[in-house]
Amino acid sequence: MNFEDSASLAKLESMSAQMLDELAFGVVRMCPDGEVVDYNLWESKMAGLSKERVLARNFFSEIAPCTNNYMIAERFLNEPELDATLDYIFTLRMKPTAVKLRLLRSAIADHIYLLAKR
Amino acid sequence: MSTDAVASDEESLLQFVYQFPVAVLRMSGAGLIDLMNPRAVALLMGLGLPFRADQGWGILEALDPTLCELVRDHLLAPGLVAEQRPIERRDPKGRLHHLALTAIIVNADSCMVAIENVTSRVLQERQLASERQSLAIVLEALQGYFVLMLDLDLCITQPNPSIERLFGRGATIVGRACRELLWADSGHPVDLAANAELAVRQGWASFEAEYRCADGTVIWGDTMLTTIVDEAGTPSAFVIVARDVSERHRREDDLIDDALTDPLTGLLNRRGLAARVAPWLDDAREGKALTISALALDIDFFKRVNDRHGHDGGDALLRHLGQLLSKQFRRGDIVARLGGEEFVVLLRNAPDAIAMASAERVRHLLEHTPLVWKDETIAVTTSIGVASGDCVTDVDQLLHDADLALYRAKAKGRNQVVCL
Repeated sequence: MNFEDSASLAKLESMSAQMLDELAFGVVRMCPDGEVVDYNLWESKMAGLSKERVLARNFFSEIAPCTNNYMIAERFLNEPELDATLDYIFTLRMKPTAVKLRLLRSAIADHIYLLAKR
Repeated sequence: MSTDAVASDEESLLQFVYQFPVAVLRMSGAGLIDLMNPRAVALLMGLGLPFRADQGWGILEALDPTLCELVRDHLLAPGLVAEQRPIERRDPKGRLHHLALTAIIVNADSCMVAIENVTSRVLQERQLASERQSLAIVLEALQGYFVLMLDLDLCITQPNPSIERLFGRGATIVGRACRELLWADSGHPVDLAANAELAVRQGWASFEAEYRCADGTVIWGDTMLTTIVDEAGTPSAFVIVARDVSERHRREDDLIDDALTDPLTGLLNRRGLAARVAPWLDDAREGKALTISALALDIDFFKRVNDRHGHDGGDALLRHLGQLLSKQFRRGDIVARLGGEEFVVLLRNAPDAIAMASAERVRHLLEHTPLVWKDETIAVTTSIGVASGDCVTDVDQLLHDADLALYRAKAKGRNQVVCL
């Protein structure tokens, strides 16, 4: 699958952690409250954080405070059906990096997803 | 150290910086940001400011044009350019944010900028300052009230205009025991420590006390003593707020005076006599041996004075005798006009001979001190009955005896003193 895939959410829900690691973009799989369930290899390499450090933590408040704002965390919280793409700056290893983000949330899925690509 | 350990340390460090609560960025002399933490992005974005990596100078310019210029000018002179420089910025929603900027030039090609959002601290400080200011205004403007801040030992801890006006200036008041402000000779002494204990138990205590001001005057304070508790609920200080009720006390005293005084002569009236003699009778009931002598006076042929000079003349004569009696007797004696031309003097612990001599002196004095009234001379005499008793508990009986003696003096031809 690719970043812009229209049926992303359903596909992502069916993918194992290993399959997520093979993707060429970042994937953060979270519970609706932001607790990290999976953190793929791409994302881990870019951020410089290993999976172990991130799993079961709250992504917005503990891992990536720069997403804890009205553009990202609050949209996940307030929009039950969400599929939005936006340009953003991640400070991956403190390097300001322009990224494209995709925010996915739906009633059909147990998890919410944050996708990132350069 | 193993490679794994190094990697782990590095990761930990990364995480540390990811979560660093102050926005930090590093930029080159060309304005290229090579490092910045998430907080910086969040802060700049929240303020609607540029935040892209190539916008270093743009960010600085948008935050604080003056600082931006300073940094440009000092690129060749490494060092601290600004520390906690306060600036204000509005976010896209119009909310005002207070920021503190710190900028360090490391070298010509590296400048570190830290941005702290200190809005809540600034607002808190402003709120405090404004509260302090309004409190100061209130304390300055308080008329008829004063406020004392006390520590747990009931010593004054802070000066304020309301107490300085009354009790002295500035430092002289601080550290003094509140007790010292109370009037030592008050007829209504107040136990401050007991009130403080009560205030600790129930949060407050109220009492009226007489305070002695720096100029020597004494004021009545309707006082509220309140306990200040710390966060744990433990008493940490006291505050006294007192209202000056001296005027009310004066009015009450005047009312009491009015009720106990004969308006014509200024002597005590019958009620005043009863009030003044009550402590003497209490002493007698408690077995304290003491003699009370009563002198009953009556102006001879007073009706004639009224007939000849009218009531005004009669009143003038009564005032004349009143003044004469006031001058003749000591402060501790009781001099009263019971009605009409009927006067009474009560003496305490005066032997019969002294009582008789006093009576004779008054009789003699009045006889030889005629009243000059409206170009006329009114000369009168007086008859006086004297009675004494040891351990008198019934003053009416004593007055009755004195009246009996007075009656005899009249019967014997007036202008004389008779002892029962």
